[in-house]
Amino acid sequence: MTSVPGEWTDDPVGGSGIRPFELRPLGGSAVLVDCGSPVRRRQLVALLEAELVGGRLPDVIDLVVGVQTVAVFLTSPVEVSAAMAALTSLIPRSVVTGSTVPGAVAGVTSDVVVPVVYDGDDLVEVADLLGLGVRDLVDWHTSQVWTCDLVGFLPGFGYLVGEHPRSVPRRTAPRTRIPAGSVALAGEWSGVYPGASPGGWQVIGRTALAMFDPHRQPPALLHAGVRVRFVEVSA
Amino acid sequence: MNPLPVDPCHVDSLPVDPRPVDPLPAGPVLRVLEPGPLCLLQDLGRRTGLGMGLPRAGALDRASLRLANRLVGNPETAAGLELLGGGLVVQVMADTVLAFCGAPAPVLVDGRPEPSHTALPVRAGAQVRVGRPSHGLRVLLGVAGGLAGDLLVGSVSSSPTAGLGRAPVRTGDVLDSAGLPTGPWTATDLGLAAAAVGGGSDGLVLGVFAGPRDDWFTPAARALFVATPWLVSPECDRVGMRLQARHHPARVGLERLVTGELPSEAVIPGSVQVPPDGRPVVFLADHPTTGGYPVIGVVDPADLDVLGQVRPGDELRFEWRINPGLTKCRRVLL
Repeated sequence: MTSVPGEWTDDPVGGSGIRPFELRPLGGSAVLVDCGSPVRRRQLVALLEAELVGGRLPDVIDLVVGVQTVAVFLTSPVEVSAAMAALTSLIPRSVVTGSTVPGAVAGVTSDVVVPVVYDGDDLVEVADLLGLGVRDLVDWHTSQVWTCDLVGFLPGFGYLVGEHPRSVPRRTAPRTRIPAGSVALAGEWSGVYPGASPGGWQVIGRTALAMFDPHRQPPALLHAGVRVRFVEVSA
Repeated sequence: MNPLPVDPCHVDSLPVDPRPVDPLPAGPVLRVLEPGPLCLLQDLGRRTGLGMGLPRAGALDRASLRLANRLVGNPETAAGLELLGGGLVVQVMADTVLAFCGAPAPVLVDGRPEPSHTALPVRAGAQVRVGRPSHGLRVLLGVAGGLAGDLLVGSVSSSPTAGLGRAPVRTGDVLDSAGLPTGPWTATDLGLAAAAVGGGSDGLVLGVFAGPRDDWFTPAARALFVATPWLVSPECDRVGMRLQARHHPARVGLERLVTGELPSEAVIPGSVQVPPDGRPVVFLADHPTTGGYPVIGVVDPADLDVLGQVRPGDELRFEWRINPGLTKCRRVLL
């Protein structure tokens, strides 16, 4: 076992309600940074993206963002220990304590504009659920900046968080097939299906923009931290 | 790893072939007459792209694909075919060299038996038939010049469940050579998974590193994880492999210390994830990049190939390994 006696807490979730900020090895060539909260995790992603764009993390080949975690993938298996030390010194106290103003490092990644025809099968029902008119729903969706919080479910599927969140329940019965390009809502997220898939999100519109194209470089338009705007277009 | 039984896979002492080999032209090289149960274009998978949700992908028994490539003079990274349960029948469309590695299976060239785990020069027009492996599960076919495919973030590999890469090979498909330059085939010192599972899998032991959430389990569960023999269940594919305890499969589970839900986080090939029913799932090459259940252990990458060769009903055990690169497992910053 690799554990150091006494270093393990009995309850890693923490009885106090504050989860610890900690680093754990993930196999032999990655480090899982558990930020303990989505807010601190977003700050860390922004920080790491800025470092990567600036070429200051040469040993890092990939980041996989979870709800409260960032997995840092390294070029070589033997560097995990050193990488943990380096990451520890890299992460500012302000991120650990959550005192950084969110968005302070925003703008390091390019924005994506998604043209949308708002004619989804669930558009009217979602507007009703939110107590809005269809026009208000479209205005709400197009009038704010969304940020890709994490990528998962399908290659190129970004979970987008808006500036003015509203909670939308998932469909009680998932659809067996949601077409590629469907623009949908669930919980406080918005997303665009990169390929056809079963799904339980509420579909409000569609885009002709390929969110994932294997023949494009890079194939996926979204990764954590990318900012997205939806604009309405006619069919 | 277990001692290797005497097996055609054991090829430590192959000499270096001194022949210079002419480059083979790109273009049609194999016409598929029967694909067998599942025939997939595979290379060694990708190193990046996880952040955009792409699986690592690639052959499940990578050492055997590397060997097949070496035998036909390819770079190890060239694409070949992964044959689940053998069963492939092809017509050769251009003179080439083939090598069948991984699970040892009978090979017939125009009805003549030929050995696996060696370089087989074949002529245009020949018919090549692969039987069912005697043990192991996946045959890896290397083709001189490599097979052509669309590159997606560094890999042409097929991930059928994610709909990525070439669709499973079907009857009538024509496979093109990539026309990669070939060199002389080389000696090899690869440890081979199919050899490790040879002659029944009793005593198969896989090394595991402590998982990022091993402290979410009771000490008893962590002890049970490495003490109990596990059976490979029929629920397995390239995404993952569900295990069940050999003894009392209905009752033995891995008890959690922390019972809350885990917010989804990154997993890697070899991650042993434990859902609430206590029956572990080992993730393989086509796994989703994040998972929502705690990971008790991560299979040593050196032992991952074996999981591509075990069959449902095979038995295996885990053994804790200490990651030599780590002096301290966990750092708490707050």
